[in-house]
Parts: sequence; structure tokens; C-alpha cells
Amino acid sequence: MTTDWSELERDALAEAFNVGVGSAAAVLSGMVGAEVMLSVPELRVVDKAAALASFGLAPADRVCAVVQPYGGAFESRALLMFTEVKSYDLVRAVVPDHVAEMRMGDMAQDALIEVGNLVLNACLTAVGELLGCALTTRVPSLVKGEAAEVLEQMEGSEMMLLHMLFSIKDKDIDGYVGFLLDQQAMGALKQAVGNFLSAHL
Amino acid sequence: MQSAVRNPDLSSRLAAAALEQAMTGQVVFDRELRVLVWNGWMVKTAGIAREAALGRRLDDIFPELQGSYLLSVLEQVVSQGRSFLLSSMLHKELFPLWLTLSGGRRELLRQQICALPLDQGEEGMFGMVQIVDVTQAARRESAMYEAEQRLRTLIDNMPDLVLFKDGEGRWVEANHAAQQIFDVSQGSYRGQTDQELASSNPAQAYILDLFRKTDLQAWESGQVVRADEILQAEDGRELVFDTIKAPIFHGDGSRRGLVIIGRDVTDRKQAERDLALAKQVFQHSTESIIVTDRHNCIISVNPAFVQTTGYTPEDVIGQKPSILRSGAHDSHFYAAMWATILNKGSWSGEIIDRRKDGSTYPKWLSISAVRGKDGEIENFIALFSDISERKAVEQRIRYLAEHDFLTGLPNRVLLTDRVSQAITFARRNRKRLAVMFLDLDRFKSINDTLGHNVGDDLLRVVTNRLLGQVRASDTVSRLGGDEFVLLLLEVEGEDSVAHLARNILGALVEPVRVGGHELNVSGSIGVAMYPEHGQDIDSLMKNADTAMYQAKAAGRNGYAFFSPEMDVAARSRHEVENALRHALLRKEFVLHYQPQADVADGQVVALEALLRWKRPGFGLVPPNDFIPVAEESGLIVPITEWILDEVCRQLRHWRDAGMVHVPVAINLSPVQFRREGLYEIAMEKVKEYGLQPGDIEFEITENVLMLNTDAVMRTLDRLRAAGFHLIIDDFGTGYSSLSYLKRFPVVKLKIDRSFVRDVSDDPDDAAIAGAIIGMARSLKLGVVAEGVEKSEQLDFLRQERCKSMQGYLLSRPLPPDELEAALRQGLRLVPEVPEPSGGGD
Repeated sequence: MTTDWSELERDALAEAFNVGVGSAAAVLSGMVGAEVMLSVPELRVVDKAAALASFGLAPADRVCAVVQPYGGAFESRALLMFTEVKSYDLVRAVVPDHVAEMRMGDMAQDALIEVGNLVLNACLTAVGELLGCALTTRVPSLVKGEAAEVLEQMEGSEMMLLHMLFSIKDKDIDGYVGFLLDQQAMGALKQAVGNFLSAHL
Repeated sequence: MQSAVRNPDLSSRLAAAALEQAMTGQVVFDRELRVLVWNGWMVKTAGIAREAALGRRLDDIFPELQGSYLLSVLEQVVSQGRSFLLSSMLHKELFPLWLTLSGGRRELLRQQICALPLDQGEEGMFGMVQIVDVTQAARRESAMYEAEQRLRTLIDNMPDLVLFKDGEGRWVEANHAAQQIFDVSQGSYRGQTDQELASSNPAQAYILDLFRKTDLQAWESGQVVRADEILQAEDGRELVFDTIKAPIFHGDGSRRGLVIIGRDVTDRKQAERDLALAKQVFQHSTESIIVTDRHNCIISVNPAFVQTTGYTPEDVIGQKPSILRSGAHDSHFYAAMWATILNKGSWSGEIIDRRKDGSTYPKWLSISAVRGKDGEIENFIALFSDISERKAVEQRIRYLAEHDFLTGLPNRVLLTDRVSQAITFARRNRKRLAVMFLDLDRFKSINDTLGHNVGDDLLRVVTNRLLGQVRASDTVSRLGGDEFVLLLLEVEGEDSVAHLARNILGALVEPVRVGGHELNVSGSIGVAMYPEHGQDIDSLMKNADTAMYQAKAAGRNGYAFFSPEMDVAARSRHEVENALRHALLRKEFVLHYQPQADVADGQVVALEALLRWKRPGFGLVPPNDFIPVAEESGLIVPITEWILDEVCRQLRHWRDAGMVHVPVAINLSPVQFRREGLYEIAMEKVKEYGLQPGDIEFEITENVLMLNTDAVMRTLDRLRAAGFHLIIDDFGTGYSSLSYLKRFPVVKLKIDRSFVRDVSDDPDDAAIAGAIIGMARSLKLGVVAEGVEKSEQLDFLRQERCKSMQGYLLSRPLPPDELEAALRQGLRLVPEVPEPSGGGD
């Protein structure tokens, strides 16, 4: 059973992320040497099993995900996932001289991990602030494979899903941020959003 | 190992030693970024001794870090417990660590940095940085990238299509040419099979499908397959690709990939086809072809050349085309020809050359200079055809166009030309000339009776006789049919022309023997003189024609000079003809009926239908004034049809009214027999009105019998067999012959009125009439005397036992209603009531 989120709660959470990734976008712009905008047009909370469909993916689609384990108030993993083609688009946008047609070297992969690291850190900061707790992170890694396999490796049953749009050098690249949370963590997050809303409305 | 596990102190010392020896930079720092651990790699790479580093803030050791992103990251590590991965890919400046290259140059070390928190619980939060030297890896990757880019650039710039598919047929690489030809976009094709690409681009489905066939061949054979593939250009043109498909296998024999290289050979194929076609044309051309080199030495000739000139290739190759010269043209001619070829690139014209056997022939020759890309002449090509036949044909065509094929005389085309020339000449030299129209009398009858071959032979005889009468400078031409026109130049006056006309008529009346027949021919001649009868060709021709008609009307076998009065007459005849054409439509014709009676008992035994024309403004036109015109114009045919219909209709009407149980006679013109269908129409009408053929009698003149053709015979036989009665009209005026009376299926004779008129006074006429009546009786034929007006005539007929009579003595021709009235009043022949004066039909 997924936790029931109202549209208002989802919008509030998405807005929190929007604010959170703003700083990451600024950092990224500095690194890339061009304006980078990050936005979260949509947020959903879904059952892990339904996550793929929400990503618009088939189980066998090739994907590329930066996985960021985190701890603190609770332990889990966050991931930033792209279809393989989009991942190349993103890397090509940030390090244009190092990406051949469909092959990425280790160095280029490092760049992708760093971008994911940055974005996920920003998201976790936003979550942490909402929950009023500190979330620590461990070293991120890159996972490639079929979409179903990649998700299978993740723990947790409910997934908070953010559609994240990277606008880099006139190019829009879709990515998806997923937080896998257990029901307890998800409940806490919902509670926190509820508190935030009642405090501000 | 075990001792170390049990000895924590040893374990941490070993850990410290390992850290010291690590191949990566290892730095541990506290919340204030003060260095706590500084391993050997750092000492060596940063050039800073451990003692110099320990306890110092990192941004103190490396002042370059102040305000840097790296520094902020390090701060986040210890303040928030976050882990980071930083790469030189995204950061120009991380730790200011340098690599010394040969020659003393320095280069920033490329780094991969991992910064992570070390949470030591109560002892606090520490941070750790691991620095990996990725300079070599970055170089390798960069080199690989560049190599790949070079390779990519190479294959993309190949004009050939290059395609690599994996073992499952998925596209891995396709260069620009391949992407273009298969209409796939960069990046979108990867990982797709042909089928998948086809489904997103149906226009290519057919092509991809075809293309895959040879893929399968390559896989199945395990060998390189080469084939011509048909692909499609963007504009829809079909392109031919010479394609090589090489299958590559893994060590275990499984499929690894398929390398496909294709070259567009469309142009080459087309060129090959063109060349093959050109060769065919060269070989099979009916035109002779000579190809020479730039020095005009023959290098090739085609079979047509051999056939035309008689020279074999061996005879002429290496020679100059001048060996063909006949000597008919001088050197200036050839000089001018070559000047044109060199200046304008080609020359064509008629030339006379000599064959190998020495004979000369005219030919139409075209010579072209062939220039190479540099504009220099490389070859000359000469094409020619022997035009001797064509010239002969041209002459023949011209002759045929200007001459009558039957007689060889000039036709209208040439005559017109000669007359206009003659007029021009006569006008300039104040001379006179004559145009003479000659028409053979009754030629149509001869043609119809004896057949066209006899008619044609007759025309040839006439031609020779005409030619025998004129001077060489005069022209005898035939316009068609039996119409001849003579153009007589520089004539003295009408007397000399009249003299010639008489001579011609005299020559014509000599009996002609053709096809076993002896024919008596005569002609009618009309003459128009320049300048008095016409100043131009049209009026001269028309007026001569008019005069000829006049001569014919005047009794044939004569000549007439044109006069203005004739013109008027001709015009009125024309008007009559025109009016006649409309008379049928306007229902201006009526029929009158004249009864015939039995001489012995006075009973009416038959009626003769007689045509009358109520021409508006002219009253009742006498038959003699329009029947000849109707016959000449052919209008007699539809008129006769109308008569048939009208008679049948009238008779039906009478029969229905219970009267007129006798047959009705209809006159048939000889013209009627030239057309098919008389029998059919007669049968149709009789049936239509529910009558019997025996109700109709057809009166024909002896002329018709004299036609004596199969067609006439057949028609008469069929009419008779069907039950129609056939009567010979005007008997005694023609070539009355007993033999044809036997041969033809006639039932009755009609004695011409000219014999009946004077039977009571003229013993000769009485003898003739009596002989006819007697002959008819002995041949068991009926006999009718027409034009009986007086009782003396009737007495004679009674005496001679003539069967029946027709004439005013009985009744004049009557309109149907008057006839009905007369019949109701019991019309019959009453000898005591003579009604003299006037004539019947």
C-alpha cells in the first residue's frame, strides 16, 4: 500500500525539491561553464513495482543510474536514473569532448556520477530540512543495465518519484529521481510536509 | 595475521603502514580541516613533508583552495556528513598537485577525488579525502576518444555506405551515407533491427526487407557476399549499390556482427547500359557509321557501312575516309566542308561517293567532331545513308502526286499548276489559250455494265486518242472518272479550237475494242477561252465545265463554247438540284395515278404512279424538268424510295376502303440499279403495308436491260422471284432486242407513245406497233399501248388484239382523290366517248 498523498502535499514537496535543486543547478552551471537549470515539474509517490511504468520505461529498457546511499535519520538509497540515450545526452552536454556516439569512458562516467551526486545531495538536503534531521551520504556509484534489474537492487517498497528536467545549453534532458523509503520513513516525510503546510497556511 | 588480529596495536600500525604506502593520496582532516593524516603519496606528490602538513589547515597548505568548490565540499563532509565524488572532468582545479614532465615542464595532475565523512562518534566528525591520479587514464581516454573520432570522421566521409550490425541484426554503426540512404537519424538507429527501423519508417520497409535478404545469405554461407542492391535515393530515384557483406563470428562460432559496405554504382551501371546500347545502335543502325581518330584515320565502321560501300573493315581501318570519294566534288567542296566541321562542330549535306565496286551513289552525310573534356578533338563520327533509293522514291512520289495513276496523265494538281503558268505566260505575251472539258457520254453505263477493267481500258484508249490530237506543248489531263481537261496553249481563235474539238470527237467515235467488247464511244466537249471566257484558272475551269454540260444537254457527241447565257442555265440547274434536295423533306412531291384498261372489256386493269413536284413559286414542275437532274445528282434514289412508300401507303388506304384491286406501276430509273438495296426496300415496304409483291409493277427502260450486269440481273431476278411484275417501258425506242426479252424476267411490254400516235395514219408505225403486239403475244408477254387518245388508235389496238391501253382516251393522270371519285363513278374504257388533245405520261 502506498501512502496516500494529497495533491497539495505532493505540490508542497515538489516545491521543496525545486528550491533544493536550485543551488545544485548553480554549482553545475559553474562546473559546466554554461547555465544549467534544474526543475521538478512533477512528483509522485508510487509502489516500487509501479515505478517503471511511472518512469515511462519498459522493464528491458537500458538505463543508467547514479545511486547514492544515505543514512542518518534513516538509511536508504536515492537514485537519479536516465534512459541510456538520455545519459549520453547529459554527459555530452557537460563534457562534450569525451563522449563518443554510444560509448562512455571511465572519466566520462565519473562526470556523470558527480552530477548525480550533486543533484541527489541537494534533494537529500531538502528532505533533511523538511524532516528537521541531518542525512549523511556515502560514496555514489553508477549502475547500468535493464531498468527492472536496476530497480530490483534497491531496498524499500515505496518510491518517491521526481521527474527532473535538466536544461543545459538549450537542451532538455529528462531524468528521474527516486527515493526508496520504507513506510515508516514515508510516513514521517508526509507528517513533516503536513506540519510544514499547517505552519504556513 | 592472527597475531595482528589479536593485537589491535599491531593492526592499527599495519593500517597506518598500508595507508602510508597506498598508491593514492590519503588525507584525513578534522572539522577545522586540519590535517591529521598525510600519507606517503601526498608527501611525494605534493612535495610537502608529513611534518610540514600535519596540524595545518588544508587551505593553509594549499592557499589555492581558498574559496574553491573543493573547499566547500570538504567543509560539507565534516559539517553534514556528506560524501562527494569530484572529477577532473568537471573541475579544472582540484588539489594543486603537479606532475613534472620530461624537460621540466609541469602539468596539473588529473584527479578523481572521493571526499567522505569519518564519523567517530564521541570523538567527533572527521573527513577523509582520497585522491586518485587519473592523468594516464584521462590521456588514454582522450586518445581513445580522438581515435574513435578520427575513425568516425573517416567512415562518415566515405561516400560508400558503411554499416555494422550486431549478431542479432541490430544496427550498431552507420555512417552518414548509410543514414542518408536508409533515412535514419543519427543516434536513433542504434540497437534497432531492420524490422524496427522499417516500422518507424514504412517508406523504407521494402528496401530494408530486400537489403536483409543478402544479410541472411552472408550469415548462412559464413562468407563474404557481394551483390548489387537496389536502394532508393531521397528523391525516389532507384540507386544500384555494389554491396559487400562480411559476417564476423566469435571464437565459439556464434554471430558477432555483420560489416556492410556499399558503393553507389548507379552511374557506372547506367554508363555500362548506355555503352551497351550505343554498341547495339552502332551494330544495328541502318545508317552507315565511320569513326575516325583525331587525325581522321578510320578506327571503326559498322555493318551498315560494309553493306553500303562494299568495303570491309579490314579494307578501310587505318585509311582516311577520302578513299570513298567519287571525284564528283572538287577540292573547294571538301575544304568548305572541313572548315564547317572544325568551326561549327558538324556538317551535313548530300554528297556523291564511290563504292568499292566503282559505282557511285548519292548519300546524305553528317560529320561531327567529338571533343574531349579538354576541348580538343578526339574523334570524328560520320553517319551516312545511301539515298539513291530515296531520291528515286521522291521522284516517284512527285510523279504520283501530279499524275493520274490510271492513264499517266497529269492530274488536277499538275494541271492547275500548268494552267496558272499558262495564264501568266498568256497575259504577259498577249496570247490566248483554251481550256477544254471533255466528258465521255454514258461512260458510267459502260463501267457498270462491263466492269471497271473494261472502263479503265477504255480510258487508256481515249487517253491515247486525245494525245494523238494535240501538240506536245498542250496538256491532256484527267481529273477522275471520265473527265478529261485539255489545256491548249497559244491558240489562234475559236475556229482553230472548234476544229480541234471536232477532230477529237471524230477520233473518239471510232469503235473501241476492249476486253472482247466493241464499244461505241462519244464525248461532249466544253471550251472556255482565255481571256474572253475567264481571266483566272477558277473561272476558266468552271466555265469550260458549264459549256461541257451544255454540249451534253444539246444531245451529246458535240462541243460548245462557253457563253454567259450558259452560266445562267447552269445556275438554274444548280438551283433545281438544291430545291430538289429539300423537296423530299418539305413534302413537295405528290403522286398522280393514270389508269390502264383492258382493250377488250374496258375494265381498269392497272394504275401507273407518276411523280409530280409542287415546287413553291413554280407550280407543278413537269417531270422532264427535274427527273434528269434528280438522276444526275443521285437524288432519284431517295425519291424512288419515297414513291415506293407512298404508293404502298396509298394502295393500302384504297384496299382498306374496298377499292383498287389492280396493281400499281412504278417507274424505276437506271440510276436506281447502280445502288444496292432496291429489292430489300421494295420487300420492306410491301410487308410494312401488308401488300403482296404482285400488287406492284416496276417499269424499267430498255437502258436498264442494256446494262446487263450481274448486279442488275440479280436484282431483276430477285424482284421477279418475289412476285413483283417487271414491265419494259418505252419499248421500241432503244436497242429492242428479242434476245433480252427471252433472258429477262419481264411480264409486260409497253409500246412507246411515238408508235401509237400515228398508227391510224402511218403504215410504218402501224407495222411496228403491230409487230410488237404480235411478238409479245407469241412470247406470252402482256402488252400495253400508251398515249392512246383517239378512238381510231383504239380501233387499231382492238384489231391487233393488244391486251391493254393507257391514255387520255381513258383518263389523264389524276390526283388520288379525283381518281377515287372517277372509280366510284365506274370509270371504264368507253370507245364511244373520244377525248382528244394533250398527252398522257
